[in-house]
Amino acid sequence: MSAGRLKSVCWDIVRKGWFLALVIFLWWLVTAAGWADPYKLPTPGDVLSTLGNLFTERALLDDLGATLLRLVEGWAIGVTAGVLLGLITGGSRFLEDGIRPVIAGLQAVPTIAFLPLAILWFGFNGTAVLVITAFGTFKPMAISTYSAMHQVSPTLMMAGRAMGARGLFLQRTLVFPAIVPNLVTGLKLSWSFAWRALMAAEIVVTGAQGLGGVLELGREIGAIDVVIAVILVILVVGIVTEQLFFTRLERWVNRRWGLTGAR
Amino acid sequence: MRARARALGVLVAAVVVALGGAALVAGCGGGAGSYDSVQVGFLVNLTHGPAIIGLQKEFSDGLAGLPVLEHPFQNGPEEISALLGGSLDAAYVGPGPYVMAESRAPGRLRLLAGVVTGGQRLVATPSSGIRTIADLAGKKVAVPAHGNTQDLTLRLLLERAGLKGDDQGGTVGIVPVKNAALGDAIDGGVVDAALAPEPYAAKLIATGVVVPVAPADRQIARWRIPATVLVVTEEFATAEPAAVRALVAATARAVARAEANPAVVAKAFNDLIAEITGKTMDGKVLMTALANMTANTDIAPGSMQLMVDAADAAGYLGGPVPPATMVPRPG
Repeated sequence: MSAGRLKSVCWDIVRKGWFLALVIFLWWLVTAAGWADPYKLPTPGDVLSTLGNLFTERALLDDLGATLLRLVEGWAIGVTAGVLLGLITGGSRFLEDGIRPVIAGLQAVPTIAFLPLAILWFGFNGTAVLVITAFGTFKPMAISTYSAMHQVSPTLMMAGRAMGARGLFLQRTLVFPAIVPNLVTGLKLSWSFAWRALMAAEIVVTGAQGLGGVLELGREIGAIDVVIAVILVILVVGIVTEQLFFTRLERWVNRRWGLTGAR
Repeated sequence: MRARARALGVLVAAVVVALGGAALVAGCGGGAGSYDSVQVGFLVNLTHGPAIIGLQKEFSDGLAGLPVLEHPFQNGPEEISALLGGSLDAAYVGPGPYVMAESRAPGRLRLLAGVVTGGQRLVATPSSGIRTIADLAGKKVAVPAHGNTQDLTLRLLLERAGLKGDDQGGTVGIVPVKNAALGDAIDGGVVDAALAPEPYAAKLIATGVVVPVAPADRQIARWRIPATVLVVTEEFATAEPAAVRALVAATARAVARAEANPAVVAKAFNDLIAEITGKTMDGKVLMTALANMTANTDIAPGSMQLMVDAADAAGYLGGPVPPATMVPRPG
């Protein structure tokens, strides 16, 4: 690696990590100085040690794997359903008038409110959790999709129609490519909604393996270090997903569609 | 130059905000000094019956001149968090959460007295074939929460039968299921049995979906494990000793009234859940459940230590629990 490249990588790490490092330093400072009640806020060292124990003794990796699998499955189902419904309703005034207000209204209802129904219909198991995750994903994805369809330039549509494009051909060759950048925003938004729904459901349906169950275990036995450790794991997964998947996807879409950001 | 100064300004602001937040965390609760009221927590459970009726009568005139403010909770861990966070001064709580608190925040709470003993049963679906504790091998058993009284009692039962929970390498699946979802979990075949608190055990037995596992019930009765105990924060006990003495005396009167007339407890409990949920429970079921518990301020010697040992074996404890903290100190 050349000196220039090394310098660039180091600067990249500093630029992206300074805030996290500052938070951890302040956390350490507050606990080391004895300003915080250790029961309410354990030291970073204690949490790190607990995290190590969770991975070695409780097989947290299995819980993480179960949660991620459920998250990806629920998200994929929710995204597919949301995009399909968004495309269908966005393409028909009649369907949009009937369906859109209901979906928009549902968006205001916390997904976890549907958990009792999911448990009743699908059982007190991982299926209920998966359904809630998919439903949590579906709502913002559907809204993002038909909002994206409304933002397709009328000039573009007129040009397409003038060149003879109609029906599914018009949707496939013009509308869908035009909405992709907005869909990426929808994907990111729905990913965070999927996490929220999944964690809330896993906390209640604790029989199913997953991070939510470990979080609940920590709460139930008053182990705040376990609670913070699980939050850190979720945070790290969030950062990694953002950096490795969504940022790259966004960059690719921006490049492919000739879009540039504000910076 | 200006950009660098701006970045530095942002950094300083971030530090100030973070330190302010930390100071808030550090300063929240735990304010020392005199009290102008007593914040008392209890669970909306039948096993907290004496607390529920006591708050209606024995506590209505206050404690040593301090008015009593009641705070109902849905589960023990939240109640303990409220106690340790300074939102409550006293609480009626299960022994499990109290043991957890003593292990993770030693010396912050004081055990005052027992309130109710019993009030939990092992029940199993008829088709599960569970008739003895040993039959639990390879089966799944529901408990309301990790580390609560039922979870710890189940682990004691398993140990007696030479079994272990699946989280300790054993064959018995221990599944935390909230009381409200227990019926669904049994109907859906998620669990074969449950160590359930009253009145949920009595309710399930009355509907015929489960039958009691008699040998387990006999063993639980022999242990005389408390279902509810009275605790206060050490800070409150030090600052308001007269109020603590009055609290213990008022609790004793409420406990005596509950034991003499369980129907009063059943009515008060139904009134309370009607106020919260708009629904009531069958009076006969409540009376059956009350017959399975004893209102008593005594704590059987060694019964709290059983909870500590079970929690320790399950890996729930954050540190050692001094045996002295498991003995009531009402004075």
